Amino acid sequence: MKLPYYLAPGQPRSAGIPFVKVIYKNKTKKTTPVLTLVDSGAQVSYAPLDFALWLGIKVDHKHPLDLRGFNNVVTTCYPGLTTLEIDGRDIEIPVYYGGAANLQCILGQDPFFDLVKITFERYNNLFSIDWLIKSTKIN
Amino acid sequence: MSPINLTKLLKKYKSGWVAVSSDYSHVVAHAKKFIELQKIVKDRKDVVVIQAFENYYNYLS
Repeated sequence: MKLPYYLAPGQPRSAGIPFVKVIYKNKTKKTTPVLTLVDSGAQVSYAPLDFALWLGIKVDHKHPLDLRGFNNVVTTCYPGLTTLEIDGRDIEIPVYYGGAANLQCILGQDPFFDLVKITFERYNNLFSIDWLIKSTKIN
Repeated sequence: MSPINLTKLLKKYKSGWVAVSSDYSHVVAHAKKFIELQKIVKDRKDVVVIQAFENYYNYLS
């Protein structure tokens, strides 16, 4: 699927961001579609702890991960197996939850980038996500 | 492909969470916390949620 970049307020100029709509799910609970950054620079996927609370996901406190941001601030996050609906397909991957409400929603490499082929064409204001696996649940 | 321009819609929101219509024409709701916003929009399928930041230019992990 081909997806557009989004323009959002920024300085010195508007930011072009590769967002994809993701519905976060756990059993019968789910979120509304959330614009989530596709980030090849992130090793894992993560979201604010509020998501886990809303979905009733029990995070794994035995395997914390300290996420170090660009400004060197460390945020401790905890993995929780989460169903993500993307483009009508469900995949189940660990999402690391933690931090304050302003922790960004990010789809990182492990394991999402193993499941899809992603091509960024910022010069065309688009990027594409093509599924490499057939075993995902299609809604 | 043209980018989806949220610049005007999001300009007044510096923090929290914003629900915008799925055609990106207007803001449906804003709340400081994600859970508050989910309670407002409930199961609406015609909205998209985004985090509000003053400056998305430094939006990174």
